[in-house]
Amino acid sequence: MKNQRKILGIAILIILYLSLADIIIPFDPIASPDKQNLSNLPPLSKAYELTIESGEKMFVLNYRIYNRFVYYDQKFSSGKIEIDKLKKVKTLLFVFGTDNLGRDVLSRTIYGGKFSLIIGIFSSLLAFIIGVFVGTISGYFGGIIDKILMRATDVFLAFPKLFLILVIIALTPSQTILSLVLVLSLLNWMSIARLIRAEFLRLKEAEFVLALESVGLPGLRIALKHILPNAIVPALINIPLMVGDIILTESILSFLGFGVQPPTPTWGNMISEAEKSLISTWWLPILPGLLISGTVLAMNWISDITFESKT
Amino acid sequence: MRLVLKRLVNSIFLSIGIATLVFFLIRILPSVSFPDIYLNPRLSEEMIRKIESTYGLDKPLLIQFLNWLKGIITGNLGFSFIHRKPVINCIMESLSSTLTIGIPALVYSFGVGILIGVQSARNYGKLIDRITSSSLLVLYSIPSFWLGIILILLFSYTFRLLPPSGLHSFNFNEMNFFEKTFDLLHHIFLPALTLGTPPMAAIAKFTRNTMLKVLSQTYIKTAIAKGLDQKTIFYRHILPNALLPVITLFGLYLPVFFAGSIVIEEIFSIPGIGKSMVDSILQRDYPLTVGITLFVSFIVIVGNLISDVLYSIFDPRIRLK
Repeated sequence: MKNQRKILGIAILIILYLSLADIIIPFDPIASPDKQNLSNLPPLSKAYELTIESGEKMFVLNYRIYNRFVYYDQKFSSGKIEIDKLKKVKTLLFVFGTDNLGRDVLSRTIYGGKFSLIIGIFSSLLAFIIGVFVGTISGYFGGIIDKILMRATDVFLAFPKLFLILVIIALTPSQTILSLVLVLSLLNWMSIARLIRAEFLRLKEAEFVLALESVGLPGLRIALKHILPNAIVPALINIPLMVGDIILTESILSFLGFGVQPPTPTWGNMISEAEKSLISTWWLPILPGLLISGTVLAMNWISDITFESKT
Repeated sequence: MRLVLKRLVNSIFLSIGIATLVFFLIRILPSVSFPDIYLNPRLSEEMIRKIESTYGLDKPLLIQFLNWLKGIITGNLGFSFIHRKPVINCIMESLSSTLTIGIPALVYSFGVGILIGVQSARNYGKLIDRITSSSLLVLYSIPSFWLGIILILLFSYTFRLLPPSGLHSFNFNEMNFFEKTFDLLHHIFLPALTLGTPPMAAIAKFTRNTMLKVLSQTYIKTAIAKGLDQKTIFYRHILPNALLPVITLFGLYLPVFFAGSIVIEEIFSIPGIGKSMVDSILQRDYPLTVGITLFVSFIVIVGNLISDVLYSIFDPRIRLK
């Protein structure tokens, strides 16, 4: 009961995140207001948006009013304007700094996490469906069909996943989120298929199945309505584990430049961009990495507590 | 013995299955194998035929497939476009770099992992066990490439203790033996640590679980009841039984250490197998990509075979079944 509440809590957190991500971000995650003057600001730096009479906006790092003039400092220059011309001042706070194009790291991380999570969740659901399908067919028919399917599963399992994904991605002309979901789910169904099959074989011998058979129910109906729901339940534990695993894989792919392409941010490609200028902008990889670890940790933790409560 | 033989036959079929899958993956997308020749308008029809016949593309599919299998068995994986060398030579060259990182990482992850797992289980329920278990879960969840970046930031850029990339210093050839060894260790430390840490956490967690399972068995209670001393119980009865399942992890993790990790080699600029893989994809060096994929899957199969064989050697119950 306590565990169920924990899992429900995490699920609600994820749903809230997905629905609120676009609203709560303070800055535009993709386009930057001022590429030059706002670039590479360290965490907790402030900047000011000065709106001038003509409606033009100016981004400065510092300003002071003195003698009817507004003196301002920008990244590479400074200057002054008359105070009458200044209409509005807005303070901008970049909690986690900005990247080389002047985009807010916090906004990009929140926005990018949406794609990482969506890819993780949808791929694992699809992989689960494929796994259940293969496992059911294998377990229900048995014999030669079972042998062939299980050998195919073995072949897929023996492939090093990341290498195979890279090959497939290299062979396909362009990557969209949909194609990534497809590739990732096509390479993650194997363990589910094995589990479902094993459960099927075990349940086939169970007494309630014998009872149903003796009542005269047709085999297909027993398999789909009575065995399958029982076989699926133990496999459900694997979904969070799979989500975490796929988020990791996706971030690795994005890191290597084979995943979601910039300017759309994902946690992986943000770290990849950050790696190019580690010495000067150390703050860029911190937040996305923490969030990947946090998400994967939450998923592993769910599967851990469900596993422990079972045994 | 029969079990080993059965596994061996199984592995051979698995290898053939993988080769088949890779072959058809190539043939589904025929323009991929030679991306340029079909698109180049300056190549005459006759020229294309000539190239096709050189590479055996004009023969029937079945013959092509058999030739492909024959090539794999004889170690002829084709010819790299970029390096102008047989693919197998390219792989062997990068393998040495991969192993330089992989073997220390293997020793570290199994040594430290088993040690932590055993200690954690012996202190089950105490504060120290809880702390180690939760930090293991955290370590297991950290993406290795991020861990690598953080370690570089800390040890290379902030403290300036360890080099951020490569395997040798630029003046490596002028050093004497001791300097060379020191230099190599200096360069290996960070990548090996990064590569080994997530498996270390997994191994420790696994060891702890198997230890706990053994500790709750009745024969341990019997041993305690008949008055055996703690040491004998631990080293004779608990440890061998608890470490037995860890052997399976050895086979599972073999590819991680022997086929290299793509990301870690990329971050630390180590010219190993993973980096060759990424480079070959980016440079469209297609035979090398396929060759490496086959090589790595072969290692996975060998890893599984090794863990099966080891298991049956150390656990007589399996042999009897």
